[in-house]
Amino acid sequence: MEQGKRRKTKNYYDYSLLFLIIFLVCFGLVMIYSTSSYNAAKYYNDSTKFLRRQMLFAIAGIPLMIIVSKIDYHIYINKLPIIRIRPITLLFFLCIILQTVVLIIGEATGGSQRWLPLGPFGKFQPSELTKICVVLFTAYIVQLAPRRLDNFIGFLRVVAFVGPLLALVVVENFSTALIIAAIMVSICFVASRKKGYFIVAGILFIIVGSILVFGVSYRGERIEVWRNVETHPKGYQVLQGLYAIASGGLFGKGLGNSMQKLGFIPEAHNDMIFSVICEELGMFGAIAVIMLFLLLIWRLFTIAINAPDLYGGLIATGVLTHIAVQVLINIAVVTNSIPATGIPLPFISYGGSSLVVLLIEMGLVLSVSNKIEHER
Amino acid sequence: MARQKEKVKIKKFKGYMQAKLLFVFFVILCAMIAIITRLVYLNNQDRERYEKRVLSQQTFLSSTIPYKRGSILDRNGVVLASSDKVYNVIIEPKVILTDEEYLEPTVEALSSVFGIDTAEVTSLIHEKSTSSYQRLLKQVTIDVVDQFENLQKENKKIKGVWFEEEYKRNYPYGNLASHVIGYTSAGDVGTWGIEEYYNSNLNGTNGRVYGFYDPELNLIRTRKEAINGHTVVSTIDINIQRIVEEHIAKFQDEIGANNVGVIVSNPNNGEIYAMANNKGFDLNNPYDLSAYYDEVEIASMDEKDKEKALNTMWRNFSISDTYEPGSTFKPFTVASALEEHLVTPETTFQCDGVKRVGGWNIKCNARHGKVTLAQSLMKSCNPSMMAIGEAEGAAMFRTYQDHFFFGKKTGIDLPGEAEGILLPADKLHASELATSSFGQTFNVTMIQMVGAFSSVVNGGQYYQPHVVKEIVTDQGATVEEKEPYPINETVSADTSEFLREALYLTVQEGTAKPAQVEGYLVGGKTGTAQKFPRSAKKYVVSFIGCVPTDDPQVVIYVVIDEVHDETKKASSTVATTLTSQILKDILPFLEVYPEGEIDYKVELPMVDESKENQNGEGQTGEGQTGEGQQGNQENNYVGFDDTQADAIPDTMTDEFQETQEGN
Repeated sequence: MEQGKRRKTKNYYDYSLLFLIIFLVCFGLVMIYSTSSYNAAKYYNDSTKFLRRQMLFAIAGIPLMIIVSKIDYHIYINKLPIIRIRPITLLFFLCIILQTVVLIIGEATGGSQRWLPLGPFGKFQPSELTKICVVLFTAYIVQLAPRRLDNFIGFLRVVAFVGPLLALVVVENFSTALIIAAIMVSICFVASRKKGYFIVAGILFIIVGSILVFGVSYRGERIEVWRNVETHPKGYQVLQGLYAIASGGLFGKGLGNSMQKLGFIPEAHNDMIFSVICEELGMFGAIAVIMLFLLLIWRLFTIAINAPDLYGGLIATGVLTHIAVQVLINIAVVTNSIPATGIPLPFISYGGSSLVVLLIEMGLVLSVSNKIEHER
Repeated sequence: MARQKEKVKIKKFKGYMQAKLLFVFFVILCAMIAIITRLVYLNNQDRERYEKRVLSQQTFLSSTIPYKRGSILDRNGVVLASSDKVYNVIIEPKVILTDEEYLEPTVEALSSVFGIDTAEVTSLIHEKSTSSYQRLLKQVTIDVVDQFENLQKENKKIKGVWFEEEYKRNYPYGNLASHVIGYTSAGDVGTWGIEEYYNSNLNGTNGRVYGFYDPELNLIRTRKEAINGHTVVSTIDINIQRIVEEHIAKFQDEIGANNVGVIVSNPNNGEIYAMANNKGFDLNNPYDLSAYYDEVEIASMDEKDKEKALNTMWRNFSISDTYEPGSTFKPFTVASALEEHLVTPETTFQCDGVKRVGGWNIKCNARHGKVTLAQSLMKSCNPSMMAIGEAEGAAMFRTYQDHFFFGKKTGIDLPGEAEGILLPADKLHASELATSSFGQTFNVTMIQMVGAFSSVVNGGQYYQPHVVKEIVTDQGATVEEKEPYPINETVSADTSEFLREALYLTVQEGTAKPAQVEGYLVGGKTGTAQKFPRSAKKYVVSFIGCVPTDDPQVVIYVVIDEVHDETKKASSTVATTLTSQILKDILPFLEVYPEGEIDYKVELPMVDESKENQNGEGQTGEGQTGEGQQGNQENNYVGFDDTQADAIPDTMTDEFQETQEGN
């Protein structure tokens, strides 16, 4: 800004992003009702059981997102007035504690301990909170000294900070750890001036990944399932999803007309929801959904490159990575392009804590967009 | 200064970062495109194969629990049609072969209970070793299944056999009331009769056993029970139906005719007690023609002939066939004239044995001389009717036909009802009007006659004829009750009373004497209609009547088409005699009992025959004529003799040509 010349500026707010998010959430509710009503009516005698629960979280989450978007995102890295601690540090340790607790007293579903019982509020997945934490924390560490990332040691320093969280997550939830790692790496990659050592890091990452995959028995089995989905007895879920996708055709069977959701795709309203979208709305609907996500990512990208400072830009980068990786992994699993792993489709899949956390992240990005000044 | 310092502190999202983020975005874009490609590939590559699997596993993972089709009951709750549970024996070779120990005891048990060859089963099991659904036997009864299940309890090594439930339609009375009840094909598709008309009420909704995989891939089964179909309670009384059918069969044995149709109904609400004809068929085996054709004939039939023969057998004569009613129509002509005050009971007509109308000499059955209105019915006098027809004119006559529901469907709750054929008013020229007045040159169905006649004798209320009383759930709760309510008022109470008395006299003293039943007040009208072409000298003889005439409880209509006996073919006596026999047997069942001493005096204006017609030829006076003779007299009443038959106006010819083809 040049001195002397006074320009009239106005704070920007990305309404198109806001409406895109609200649209996706509403579309998600419609699909949740479509996929869950049959089973809900059957087992709970209440076809709207899942819809109402998710609606409750959406109604709570959207105002929360708008509140977060109006809070200056620098608050999280400035020291609190009395206790002289940064909120981000607090959040970091809170996450470490929660992740430790969940390993000890967590509720086990499907063979993994991932949930903390929260009494009347149902249950909570700490790894969701960890995702926000990693976005904010990595962005904070990197923006302290972006130059250091120009060499590999600098990158390792960031890894060392985030490492404890990553280690705690990877024990029970490999796919979430993968997302967290991807967020971290992409923030570092964007902030760094070098590219070379990322190739090295990439190779390292693959090696560690493979050890983890083949070292743990149930993950090794998943590879087997992936390769022989039609014959492996445990390929049932993925195979049913594939049936759904392939039988949808160009325009699908029509909203609500899926046959596969009638008990064939287990918990169709969760991770497999995209297969029912394909079946009911066809290729056309599925590609439209992918395009919506691409549009969303494009909005995040614009906010990142126009961000008023490095910290805001890196937050947007982290959130962008989070959404993109989750969408890609989810759809890749559903289409059996990669071995099965349980990642929900952002905004659309059923799941309260996941939705609220995503909406808070969106609030953060909107808050960054709110700091962009533009000429009138 | 302070401002500059702050500026230094702000770390910007620099250009190279933007470029790298763009690279990230580009990578994501590529990944998305890859995934879309994968989606499209899946859709093109595996679509057909996977679509089939989606459909096939619908039956693999979920099996149907069949509903029970509702029963059909007669008015007293006797079961006319019911669905009984039977079992299909299903074996699962895959399960049987899981352990060597299972095979032998299982096969042994199967052969000992169901009598199947051991080697056959064993080879089937090995042949279809991966199958988990092989239907071994169909429609086994419950006691055999129980036997097997007892064996299974004793020996735990009998594995992989289960029983699939199914229902089989059963008609306990075989061919009784076959045209009213109808049969079912494929278990739940009603064909003809109540089975067809009330098909949707009788059918229920299938239940299902669903197979589910939970996240641990355990198969969980849940059951959604079937909803059984509703029970249909008919107005048919099986006792009356049986008596009627027995009499028809007896008549066919003794005299025989092409078609014999009988309807017994309640004139006060339109309920049909019995509806029968001479071509019953076994409902349990509706494709069996052996009752009407011998083996050689059946063997020589091609598909078309067979279909035609079956359709003839299944056809409900009482509602699907149309014919000229003849003199049984006369009460309606008289009723309409009374309604219009064109005549009174005192009106007299002059009958000279023949009347010249529109260039034709139309004959009567005798020269009756001077007759009153009541006598015109009693003697079945044609010129009297022609005089009424002339007085009414074509338009009014046609209006009354319409009024009595001729020429349109009565709406009886059975499929296949015909409308009949009426000449439109503008084609009712003098001669057609004249012949129409005594029931020729237009076609009706039996059910139309019953509906209209009931209204004339019950005081003027037209009730829609129906064969179903109510529909109840399989638990007996009422779903729908067919409340009888009059849909039209046809005649006044006075007209109705006059006709009842005149019809009583017709049976008592007139042409319908053989219809009398001792101890009962029977009233009715005979009819002998000459079929088209007139020259063929073929006749439909009939009688329609009610009992008792002071308060009619039963209407009976007997139609006999082309009596095989040449001497009796034009004699309504065969119809009146049959009616009398049927009435005598059925009336006690309908709780209409003979009156010890008949205290029923009918006083209608009469012309004293002995004074007025001293030289009257062929009078139908009391006790003068024998039955056969009387019939023969009546047979001549149609005014077309052989020479004139060829000169029937074209319009009539066309209409009747159609009728004949329709039949």
